[in-house]
Amino acid sequence: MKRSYNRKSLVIVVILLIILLLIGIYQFSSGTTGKKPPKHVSMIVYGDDAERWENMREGAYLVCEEKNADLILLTMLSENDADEQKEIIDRELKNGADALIIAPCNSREIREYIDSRKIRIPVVYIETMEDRFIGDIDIAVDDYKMGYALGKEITDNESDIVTVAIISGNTERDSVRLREKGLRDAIEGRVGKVLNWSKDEYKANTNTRVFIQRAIVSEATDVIVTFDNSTTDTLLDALDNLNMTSKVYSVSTSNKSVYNLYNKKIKVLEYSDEFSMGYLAAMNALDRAHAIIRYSNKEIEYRTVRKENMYDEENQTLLFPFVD
Amino acid sequence: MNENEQIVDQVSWNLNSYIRNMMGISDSMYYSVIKNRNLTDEGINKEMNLLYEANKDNLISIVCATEDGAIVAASPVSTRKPGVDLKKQEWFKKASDEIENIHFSTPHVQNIFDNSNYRYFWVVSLSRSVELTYFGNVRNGVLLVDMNYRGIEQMFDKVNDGDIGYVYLCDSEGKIIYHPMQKAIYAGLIKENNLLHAKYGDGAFSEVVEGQERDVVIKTVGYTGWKIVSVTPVSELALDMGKMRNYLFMVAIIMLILIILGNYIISYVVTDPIRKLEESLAYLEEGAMGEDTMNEDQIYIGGSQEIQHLGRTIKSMIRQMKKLTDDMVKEQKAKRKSELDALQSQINPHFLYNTLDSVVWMIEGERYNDAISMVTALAKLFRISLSKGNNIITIHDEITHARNYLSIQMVRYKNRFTTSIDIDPAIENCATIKLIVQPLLENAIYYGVEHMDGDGEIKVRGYEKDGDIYISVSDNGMGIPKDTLATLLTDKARSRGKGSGIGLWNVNQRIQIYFKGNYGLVIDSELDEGTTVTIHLPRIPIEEFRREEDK
Repeated sequence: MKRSYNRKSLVIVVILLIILLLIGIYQFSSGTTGKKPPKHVSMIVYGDDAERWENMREGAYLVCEEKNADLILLTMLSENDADEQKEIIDRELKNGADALIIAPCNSREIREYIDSRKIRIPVVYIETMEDRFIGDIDIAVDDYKMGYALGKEITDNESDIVTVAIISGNTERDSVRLREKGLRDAIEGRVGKVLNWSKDEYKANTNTRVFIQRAIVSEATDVIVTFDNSTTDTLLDALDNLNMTSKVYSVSTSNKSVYNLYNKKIKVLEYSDEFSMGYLAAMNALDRAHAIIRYSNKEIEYRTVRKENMYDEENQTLLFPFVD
Repeated sequence: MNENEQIVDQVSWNLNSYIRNMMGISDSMYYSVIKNRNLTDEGINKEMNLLYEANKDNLISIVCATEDGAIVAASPVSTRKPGVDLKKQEWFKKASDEIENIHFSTPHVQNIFDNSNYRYFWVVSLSRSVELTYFGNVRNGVLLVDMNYRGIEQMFDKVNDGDIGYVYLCDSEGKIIYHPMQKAIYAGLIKENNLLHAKYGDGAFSEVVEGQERDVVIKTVGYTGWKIVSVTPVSELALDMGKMRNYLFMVAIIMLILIILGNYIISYVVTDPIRKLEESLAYLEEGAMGEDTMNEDQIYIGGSQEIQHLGRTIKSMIRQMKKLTDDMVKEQKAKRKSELDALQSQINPHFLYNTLDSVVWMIEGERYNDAISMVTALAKLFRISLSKGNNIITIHDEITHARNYLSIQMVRYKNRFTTSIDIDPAIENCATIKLIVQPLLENAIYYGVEHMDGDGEIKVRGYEKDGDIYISVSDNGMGIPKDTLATLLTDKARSRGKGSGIGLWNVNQRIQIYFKGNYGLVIDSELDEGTTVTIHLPRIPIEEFRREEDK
């Protein structure tokens, strides 16, 4: 009897120890602070060029790595197909994303769609959202100011009789519209003539490069202004095709625009700190995913870069990211 | 902290080795290729290419330029960017300004050659002033070795793989060369104490940055003056301690489980069989050694081979012991029987002599009827005495025997004493050795009441007390002197060969041989008051005794 009693006690002790061991293993595997499983952050951007977002992705990745989260960058097939972006959003929600970082290809449409979906996970926009709701987070440069600064460069560098052609580009994005608005405010009454090369005015042409080429050969201009990466890159292609040069003033962060800045095909480039945007977007997204509300006063920086100063210490870290 | 110092030492060793390698390339290029050779010599470009090819994993380019900034040789061959003025570049200026030193720049984007596909390279420039020979004329120039920044980055990335703290590299002015959060620092998103660290000498420090306590280890890298800085937030160390504690906790539990299981296995294989063997031996030791119950099959045989062997050996030993015990018991039985028979044979002639003496005396006194009844009583007495050869009879028979004896003696002594017999009927059916009361009566008569002229009194009492049987024979004779009393039941009484002792000694010996233990006679005597001899027997019903005997 005594023997049987001892055996039972032994079995109970071993079972208790195994339970303790399992708890220990669980704690050990999830870290001593009882870390939760990694969060999944989906960064949904427009356009099919993932490299163009590398700086931003790098910033977001730094935060995700530090906060034990997974980051996935999702590009689109097109530059401004809102339906495609909505599909990607749906797919990511279905896949269990814990936070979304979105660069809307169409600010209004995507915001409305997000609102209509009543999404419960944090959504951080990495574009200016002009009509955002209270509680929406957009991490973006002050686009109006940036556009205004570009306009100021034109008035400072060019004569007051200069003709300026403005290619509005992807105006379905609030950021682009605000940049344009800022620029127009800056040059209004300070330049000779402003040409509006809006794609809407050439409705028959669906190809942006063809439309720009036609505009270039149709109307003589001294300065051409663009406000986004794809339009800038298309303009550079169009000028190459036509074997022409012009004074291009751009807001862009593409490698192509940086390269052409050195080659003087772009005269002035407004370049925003996308690394910080990615960093802060991920920080906000993960904070909210962990139910932490923290407001950052950090203003996203933008730089006015010319060939002369592009290799300056502070500019080169912005223009030439460390890319693995 | 010690661990951090070791890490920093290791990084320092690696970095030193990397830098020495780069300086070696620069030295080789200068002293073996450029110096004292005419710049027009095509061999310069060729040898530069060879040197580049041999080290291209760590190099972006090697450039040799005149003091005017004109490139005289470069590897790999590339198109120079239009409008690039080397003289305005930092590495060129440093080499020209301080011609005696080799200069290391901080990381920067190489801005010399045009790269297709918008490629750019982050490099650390190693530049030095060199002497260039052009048709016998010696001019100053600059030799540039652009090290791939990736080499340094990878070196530090490996170190920063761990969860705790980080290691970064800055130059002597505090400009960051490598930092795991380099871009975030450039963007002003996080802060590093690099400017202060650059001022520190080598060693370990503690500091508080933005409320966070950190352990810092600094080591300066030889020629460059760069500083390797290891930063470990104390809170992360505490976190690691927590991890270690959890780890140790788990190891302790695993060890405990293993110990318990090991104990269980050892117990199962070794201890249990030994314990069972011990129990089976203890069982035998406690009483199973009896002739009939000693069974070697009860010895446990199990467990490991050694313990089984032990069990089998003990079993064999017990078998031998049992055989020896059986032999001894048989021997003892035979011995006891022969002793008992010898004692029994001592009784018969003694009593017969006395009785026949009485019959002779009655016949001489012409008391023929008395003689007849005495001879009749004697016949009855002998019938019980014989008891079909049994030494054990009932108390009832023994008392009947005593009555017959007394009736013979009463006749002989003409009722000079009185007798009374009081036996508890409950004990009458119990077993006793035959002829143990009669010698006591004989002693009581001869040495107690024989000479008392009618006042003599002999009482026989039988009773049960504390589970045993007592039969006492009391007389009111003159008693036994103390010194005689002390030797009555010893061998001295036997050696006397005659007198009052022999009968008592005989009875006592017979009881003790048969029943062992504390059974036997107890004599209580007071001079001039009388003597009581009490027989102490175990209470064994005759049926039980016979059953045991049958077994």
